Amino acid sequence: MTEGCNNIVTPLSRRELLGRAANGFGALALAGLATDDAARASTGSQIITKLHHKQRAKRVIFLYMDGGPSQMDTFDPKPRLTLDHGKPLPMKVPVTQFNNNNNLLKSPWSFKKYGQSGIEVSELFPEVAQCVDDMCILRSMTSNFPEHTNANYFLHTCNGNQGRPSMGAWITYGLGTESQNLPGFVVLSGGLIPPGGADCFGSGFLPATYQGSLFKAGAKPVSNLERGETSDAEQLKKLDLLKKLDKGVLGSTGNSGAVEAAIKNYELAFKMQTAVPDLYDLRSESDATKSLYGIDHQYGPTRVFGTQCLMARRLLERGVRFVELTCPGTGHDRWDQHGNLKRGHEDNARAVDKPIAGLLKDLKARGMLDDTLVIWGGEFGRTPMAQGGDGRDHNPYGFTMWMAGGGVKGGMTYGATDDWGYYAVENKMEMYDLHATVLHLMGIDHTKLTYRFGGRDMRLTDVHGVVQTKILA
Amino acid sequence: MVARNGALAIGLALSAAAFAVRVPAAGQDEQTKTSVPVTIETFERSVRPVLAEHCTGCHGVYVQEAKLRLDSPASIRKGGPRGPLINAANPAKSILLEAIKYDDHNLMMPPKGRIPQAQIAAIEAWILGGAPMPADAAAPTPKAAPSTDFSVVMKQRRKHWAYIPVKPTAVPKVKNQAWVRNPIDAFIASGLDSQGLKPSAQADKRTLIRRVTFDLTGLPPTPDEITAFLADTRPDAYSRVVDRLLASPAYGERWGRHWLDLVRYGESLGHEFDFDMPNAWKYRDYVIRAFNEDVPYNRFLTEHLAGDTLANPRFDKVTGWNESITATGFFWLGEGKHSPTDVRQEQADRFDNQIDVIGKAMLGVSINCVRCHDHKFDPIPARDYYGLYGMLKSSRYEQVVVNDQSFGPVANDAKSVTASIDRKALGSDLTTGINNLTDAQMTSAVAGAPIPMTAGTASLDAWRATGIAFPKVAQPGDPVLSTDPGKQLRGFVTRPMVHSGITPPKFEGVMRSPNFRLTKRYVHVRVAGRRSKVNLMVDNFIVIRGPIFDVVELNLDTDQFQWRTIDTQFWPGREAYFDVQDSPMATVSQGAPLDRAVQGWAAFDGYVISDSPVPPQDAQNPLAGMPVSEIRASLIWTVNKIGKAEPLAQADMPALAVLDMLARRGEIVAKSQTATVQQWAAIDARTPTAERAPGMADGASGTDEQVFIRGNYRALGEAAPRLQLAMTFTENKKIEPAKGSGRAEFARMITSATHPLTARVMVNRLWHHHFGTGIVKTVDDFGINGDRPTHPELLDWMTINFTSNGWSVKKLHKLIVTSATYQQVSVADQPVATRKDPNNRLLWKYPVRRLEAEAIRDNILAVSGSLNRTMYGPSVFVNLDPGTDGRGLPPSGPLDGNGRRTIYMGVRRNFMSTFFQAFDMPTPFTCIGKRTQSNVPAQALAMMNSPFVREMANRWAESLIKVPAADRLDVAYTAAYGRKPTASESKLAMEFIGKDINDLNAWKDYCHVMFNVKEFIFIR
Repeated sequence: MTEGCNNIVTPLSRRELLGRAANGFGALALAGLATDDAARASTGSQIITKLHHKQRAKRVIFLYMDGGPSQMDTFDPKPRLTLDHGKPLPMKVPVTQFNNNNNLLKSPWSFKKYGQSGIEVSELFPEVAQCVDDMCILRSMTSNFPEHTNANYFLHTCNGNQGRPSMGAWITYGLGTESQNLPGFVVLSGGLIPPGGADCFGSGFLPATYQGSLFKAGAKPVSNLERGETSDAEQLKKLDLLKKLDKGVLGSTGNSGAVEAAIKNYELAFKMQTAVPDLYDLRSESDATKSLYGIDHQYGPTRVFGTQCLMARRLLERGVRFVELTCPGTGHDRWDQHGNLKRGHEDNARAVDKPIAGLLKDLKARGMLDDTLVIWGGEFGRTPMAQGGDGRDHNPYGFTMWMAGGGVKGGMTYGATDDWGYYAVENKMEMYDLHATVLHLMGIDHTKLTYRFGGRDMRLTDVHGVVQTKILA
Repeated sequence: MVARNGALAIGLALSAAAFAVRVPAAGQDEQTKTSVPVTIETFERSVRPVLAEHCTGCHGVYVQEAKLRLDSPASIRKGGPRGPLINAANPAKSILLEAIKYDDHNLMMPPKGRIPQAQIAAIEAWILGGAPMPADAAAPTPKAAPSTDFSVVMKQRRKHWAYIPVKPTAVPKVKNQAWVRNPIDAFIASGLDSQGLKPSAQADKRTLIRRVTFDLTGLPPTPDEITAFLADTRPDAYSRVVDRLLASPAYGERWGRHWLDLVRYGESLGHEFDFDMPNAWKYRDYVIRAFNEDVPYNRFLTEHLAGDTLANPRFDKVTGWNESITATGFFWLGEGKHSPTDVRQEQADRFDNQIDVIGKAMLGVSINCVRCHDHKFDPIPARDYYGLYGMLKSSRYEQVVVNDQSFGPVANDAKSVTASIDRKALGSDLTTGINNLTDAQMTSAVAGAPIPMTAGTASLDAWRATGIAFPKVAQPGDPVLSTDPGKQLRGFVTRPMVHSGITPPKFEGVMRSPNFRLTKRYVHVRVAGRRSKVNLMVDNFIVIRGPIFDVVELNLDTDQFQWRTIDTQFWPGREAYFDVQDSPMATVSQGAPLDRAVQGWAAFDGYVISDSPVPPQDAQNPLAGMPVSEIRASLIWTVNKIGKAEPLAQADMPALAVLDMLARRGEIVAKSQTATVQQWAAIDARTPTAERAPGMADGASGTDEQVFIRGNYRALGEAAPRLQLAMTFTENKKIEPAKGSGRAEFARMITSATHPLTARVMVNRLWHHHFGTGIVKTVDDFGINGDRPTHPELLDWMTINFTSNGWSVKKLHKLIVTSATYQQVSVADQPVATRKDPNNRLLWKYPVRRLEAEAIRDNILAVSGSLNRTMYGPSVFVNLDPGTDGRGLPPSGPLDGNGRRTIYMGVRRNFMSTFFQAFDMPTPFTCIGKRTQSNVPAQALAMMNSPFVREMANRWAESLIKVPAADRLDVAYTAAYGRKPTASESKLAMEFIGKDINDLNAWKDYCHVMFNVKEFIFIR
């Protein structure tokens, strides 16, 4: 069933193509491009006619930690940093964003070993730590940018500038969605929009079909989803007239494929009007489940993120390909603790710790973790030196992300930073490598998923990227 | 693989052994280190295997990244583009050592992670011990010898059709001569003939007027226009409609918007806070006017690239604003980062975007591919890219004055006032004043007039001014006049310097230094002024904001010259220039604007670059301590020269400094100049307010860039002179060195009628928008990777027609839309054609096309009666979806955008309208000549449920209900679809409305449905 959805039988007849194109969520790589098969030739786009190799992850949840969590305070313990607390960093320090660098600042939190693997996790994440045997901790991540916006674009698109397709867009372009009434790439906003704005989740030069649909926090997650008519019957009456009039238009345009697809699009839009409220209706979830995700937590932001995590699972169950979560507001400036590290990181961690652990446990219990890839991380890490007295500045030279499920090895750490946690020094992993690996897990060769734009066959990984085979299960 | 693994094992074993026996552990002191003997054997045992293990994969016999090899002593001695790997004079500073120690984040090798500490220690010991290596035969020749002679490759690639100059083409003779209305049709018919196909019938008048009206103006034809066309039986009725549409102001609004897609038009800077780009809308208005006035396309491009340098700029007839300089706002339209930690990288990224847009929009080639290497497909060497880079680097960003014409008279008046100052009377006033001073006044003034011990600004000739505040380099003895007739004098210029006090206070301008290098950390400037600024512009960086960049901006607010210091710690060795600004509107995009109400002046008396954070100290005035009589004599000596208008010398400076102080204190006055000062004040009073727009200025002399090896600015390669661009087919011609930035010369090169790309690309863009598909489908890529033209002869014929018609865009429009090809029906029963050419590439019919986002919204406004035809001016904020958030969130605009056409809706990079984006309006990040055509539920949801569409339906119904019931449906159909309803459509409508024909709510629902019918957004 799913294999069938992932494979495109070529060549498509014009009629088949139209049928699929009418699924406006991009059932496959070609769908959104073409209401005319001419478009295919013009774009020169490659289509995944067949998975390039065995698929380990069918879907992705990206827990995006906006602002840049500190590696040495979370998943990358640095005893030497504690020893050298208050001393200058014995290395050359590049210019940092605020360049108000003081001496080394030890982590205010202690680390403990967890699970069979005995991987150390800081006391900021006591709940997530319980799942450490399912997690692959990437301690040698690097970015090319120390500024939020560029780093955000780079994290999402492998390019520091605005206007490139986000990884969710690339993956939906490549694999399509299995959902009939929801978009293939959904961003569940916790309330914070990252620097760089909606373009972090954009489709760039790919058709709009693949852009991340932002489900906002609050009562009306999706724009224009509520009908203005007072009853379904009233709306249906109008849609009925529309259908009849459109039939005439189809005739007068010589059964234009584009017109036909636009007509079908209304059926989908209509279905979405009920699909999204259904999605948000949590009555079918047990109290135990809600509690697992922290939806009954005393801390408000935990409840917000817990709901997002549960919603993420529900989206995946409905066939959505790529779900990204942004952070809830905690009264701090995201994970961006240039000052007040202690309070800020504690509140941010509190907001996400229980929900993420709940998500991992729930996915595992439902057998979904095997083919769902969970990715956690921010756009960069933080400096081992103090900024001012009690903060840390941006550090793109070495930081931590982690992945779980979907074909990655659990209970392992990969790569290392130096003794103080500034530079990645072992198995250094670039953003390109991360994305190459994610695509690999999804059965895609990152060098083969391309889209012709401006005279070049563009790739998510540009001309870079090495699949990190050591972390594959 | 086996070999590498083998090498790895050996390397580890050897280096481990070496470590155990001979090499000191890290942390041992210097003495221990030097006591260990280091020999050639050290290299063989501890170094060569490590290099083989970690380095030679990329720097070896097969691959030579950064042109560096590490696989033989000879190649190690040779080093790479950064120079020798071993620093013999200071071994600890050797590049090789720094790279492997990860000391410098700019160079950390190997890139995948630091090698084991023991290996680093081994190499360090070897280098500190003199890095002995065996003599070696020359390094083996690289196995994969790439053709380094790019000119040979170029020659081959130039054979690609698009690089061959346009050739005159004969119009083909065709069988179906009766169908041919103009030569375009002959070419099309010839293509159809060759496949045994024939064109389709001519569309009916209703279809035609709807098609051509949307096509040329982006608006629906009004019912009156339709009626008039139907009634017009003259043979040229259609041609008259076309003429009317081309003359309509709506034409520029439509086709200007197409152009804005190419230049990634936006009104904010994106990045973290989406800062405002002040006055960007003036560029948008320029584009609209330029299309409406049919400015020749070669002129239009010239204005974009170098409008600030033109001898004969164009001025808008209505506002009088300088159109040509406004066009240069084009260079501003990309993203702008605030506070980059690496400003040179930011420059590289920003220029890359500029070059990308210039290449694609104007030439239809992807020049930015050569940022990292010679082009993989097209005949463009990397040097071309950096030639353009140097051009951009040598240009200056400015909020230029667009009403510059208005300042000519006051500038001339001020000049004649200063020229007509009665020097003799001034001299005698000053003499009297000096003679009347008390001794105490005299000594106090001397004490308050220190003298700088540094030279003034060197080579002021190379400074360049814009605006009228700096008409010349101020000369010693130039009086600084007041606008207060009771005070007359505010001071004197003491030596040649940049000083806007010699013009009336309301005069605005900027004076800029040539580029110089930040060779030392501290830049000290000697400045004075009021309500003005000096900025140190580093690597052309203009988004001046904290936390890093606030230090480069000095606000001036003192009459007394002071030394101010800028710490340039973050930018060692970078290129920079000074921007001395006497203007209330900062010339940089984000510096805080100065208070417009208070007029000011700026003076810059020189700068010193030093390693010390302490600025030079001024010395006591040499007149201090002299007997008062001698001071007096000295002042009179200088005053006599002023009275005779004799040139003053360096020796006069002490006296001038004292005179300056006395004048500032009002202790000497110039009563004879009261009338002069009254004139001065009058000029000031009639000085207009400057209207500014983002634009460009030129420096006196430009600086070339070097090729960045693999796109990395830290690895500089060969020189890339500005203008020596092979891409513009000039490599075999002798080219004059660029003057200034070289933008003007570049514009001349690409707007030549013989250039193979420029005109062809534009002709194809018009075709693309008229038929939905270009003759070359890849409209932004005519290169080897792009599509081939379906009708190359037609393209060339039209190109010659275009250039020989004075690059008139409107004439080409007319030719195209009056062709029979354009006037065909879009629905034709041609089974053979459908089979042979299903994609209609030969144009056997007209294609069915969906309207763009802008046309859909404008259509809704027009039909609902809400369209406001006001043109130009600041943008209306987009109505944001509820819950929209993020940094730099703009205010949400009115639901109907005040009825203004969509081109006047604000374009905030980080807050694009979701309605427009759903219908494929692109995020403005690069040149988009062809929008994607997607089909997403957000489109249907917006049309079904958005408050905007519903509100417009309600308004339409409210006006429609006033129409007599019998005509109502005809009126509705004519407005929405340009036709009358069919019988079955009427029946459906009446059934829907129900018994009460005047039920407003029913009509609101009906109108809403009408907007959703696909005929509303599709053109036949």
